[in-house]
Amino acid sequence: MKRATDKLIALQFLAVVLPIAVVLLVQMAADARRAAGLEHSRPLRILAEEARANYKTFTNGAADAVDTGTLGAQSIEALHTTAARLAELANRGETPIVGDAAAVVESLAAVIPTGATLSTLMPLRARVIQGDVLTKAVDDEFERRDEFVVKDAIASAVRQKRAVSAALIITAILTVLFVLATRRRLKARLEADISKERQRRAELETISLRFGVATRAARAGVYELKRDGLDVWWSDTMHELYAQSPQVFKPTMASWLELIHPDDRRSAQTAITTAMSEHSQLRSQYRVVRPDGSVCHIASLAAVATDTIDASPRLVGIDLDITDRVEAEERERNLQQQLRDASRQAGMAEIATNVLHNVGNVLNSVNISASLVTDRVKKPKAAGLAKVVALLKEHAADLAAFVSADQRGKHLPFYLAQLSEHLSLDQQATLLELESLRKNIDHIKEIVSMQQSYSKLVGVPERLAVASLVDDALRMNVGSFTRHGVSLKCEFNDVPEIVVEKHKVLQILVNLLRNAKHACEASGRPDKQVVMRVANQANGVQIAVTDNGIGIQPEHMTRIFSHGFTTKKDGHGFGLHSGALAARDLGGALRVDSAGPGHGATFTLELPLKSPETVYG
Amino acid sequence: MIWTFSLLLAGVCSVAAADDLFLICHAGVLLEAADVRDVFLGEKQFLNSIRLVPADNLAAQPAFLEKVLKMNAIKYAATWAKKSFRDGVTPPAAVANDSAVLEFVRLTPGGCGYLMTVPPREGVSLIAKY
Repeated sequence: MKRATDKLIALQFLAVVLPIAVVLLVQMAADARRAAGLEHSRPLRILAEEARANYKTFTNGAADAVDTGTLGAQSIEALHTTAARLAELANRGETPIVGDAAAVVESLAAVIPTGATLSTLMPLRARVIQGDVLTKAVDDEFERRDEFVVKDAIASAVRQKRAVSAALIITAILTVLFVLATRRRLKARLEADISKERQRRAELETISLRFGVATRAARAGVYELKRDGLDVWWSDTMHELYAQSPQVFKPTMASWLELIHPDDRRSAQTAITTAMSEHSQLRSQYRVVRPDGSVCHIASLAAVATDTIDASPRLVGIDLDITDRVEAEERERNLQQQLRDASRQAGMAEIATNVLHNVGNVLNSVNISASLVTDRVKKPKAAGLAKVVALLKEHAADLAAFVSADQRGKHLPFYLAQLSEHLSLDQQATLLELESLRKNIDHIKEIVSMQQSYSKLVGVPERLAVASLVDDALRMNVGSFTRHGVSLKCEFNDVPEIVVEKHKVLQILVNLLRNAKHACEASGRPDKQVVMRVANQANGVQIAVTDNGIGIQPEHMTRIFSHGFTTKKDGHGFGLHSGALAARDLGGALRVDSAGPGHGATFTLELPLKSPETVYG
Repeated sequence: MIWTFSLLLAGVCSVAAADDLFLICHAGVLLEAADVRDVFLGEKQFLNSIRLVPADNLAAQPAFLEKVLKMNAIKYAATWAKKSFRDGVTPPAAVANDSAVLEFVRLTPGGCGYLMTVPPREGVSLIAKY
């Protein structure tokens, strides 16, 4: 505002001074020009006038000589003076004007002696007249020139006068305009300032109102401490927060501390004194005991500001009622604990489900193997051997005749040979089933062992041929496939050995094969087929299990690996979920592709050449 | 008789012409008779914007000085001497006779002169008869 006013004043000053200054400068220049003109013209004119006057003195003398008969000395002297003045004019560079006058007069002066008679003068009359004409012309010319200079000076003075008048008028107009403009501008500015002031007041009132509403809504009290706690100011909400009547309770540092819970009083006081002494921010939390005995949790936030009047430090802060928050945090802590307990139980349940599922898968194979062994044991080959023993006991006395003569005895060696062969075959088959049984039981053991890894046990990766892994998985399911009429086809590419936890891979593959078999079974088609493919991929191998079963609906594709999702009547929704988790643990992935219902599905297990070091927990 | 009368008339006329003076000016210059003295003494040099150029007829000058200027030749010369010295004015040109005056007046714009014979009508203006 002040700066703008100064600018206006400066502009006004310029408006007044500039035209006058310009006019004065022009006037000075014109004065100088006129003075120079007059200074040059006036002496020349005087010389010319003197020359002319002297010549007239001479001619008058000559005229008088007509009566007197002789030319007076004064006349001849005037003639000489005329010649001298004209010569001086010529010397001052006025030759163009002086012309022949100087020469004519000088020649006259030369031929006319002092005391010349009329008879001398009369023959020179023509030259005298010529001199008269020439001196008059010279005088006229200088007079004309001088008059021109004077006229020019007068005209210039008139112009100057007009210019000064114009400048004064312009200055007056500009001054009036500037005064009006300044007045209008100052008025507008004053009105704007008043309007701004009103607006600021309104805003301040609004802010104050909002502040009051906000602090009340937030249950926040505002306080100020000055002079190391000697002066304390509380807002109304502060009184409400502490349940103290503003009419009764006069806040001081001591009375304030009295309201704070005894256990928190010292820390609250320390926080205030530290903030005041170190000019730092205050953040403290304490409890307040209200007159009704209830406890309120307070969070105090404050900062130290310098008083604008006496430059003393003052602590300005707010107290927030955080009782609800503290209680909510307590409730949340309890809930968190409950959640952790529930989660632990759920985890245990999941582990149990996983164990049961995988063990159940293997138990099917165990059950089949056991059934086969049982069937073989139950077969009446032992009974036939007993009959042979009975016949031999019956014919112990005539064993030779019986073997050689009796019809049954003759067949006995052949029968025994056949029986021996059958028993041998049975033994081999039983041994195979028992080996399978052992492996399955071993797998069950590993499943259990692996599940224990969730309890911080670490699996043991080993270098394995992929084909061996697939063989083991197939073997566990081959009986089931045969029984359900599902043909199995294998397509193995040459792939490198991989370092994995064997039983995790087996668990995944057994699951996939079982699912494939179920999908084929559910399709009801006669040409049920499962194809296993082993192929290379970037930095690993992939094992794909493809079936031509019922396929997967598109909407199920995204949920198929979710825990609990299944489309089977007796399914648990755990196999694929645990398989995906296991694949991820191995550093690989389990993917699914299906062209839709009726078009089968392909599950692909992708494994890295070397699984990351597996650390559970 | 008629011849005798004619000769007599011509003689009368001729005598009358010999005694009279006729002042003439260049055609169109209508000088007042009262100004003739000033013109021939250098006091009046312009008529309107026409510069007057008087010429003295030497043959008729004595009569002109006597009749018109009322002065003798010496006075006339002295007057012009003073006038020319004082005012730088040139005295009238001196012309020998009437025919020379007539020719001068005809040829000189603003020219003035006097004749002893009646001037012709063409080329000059008759201002006065004395």
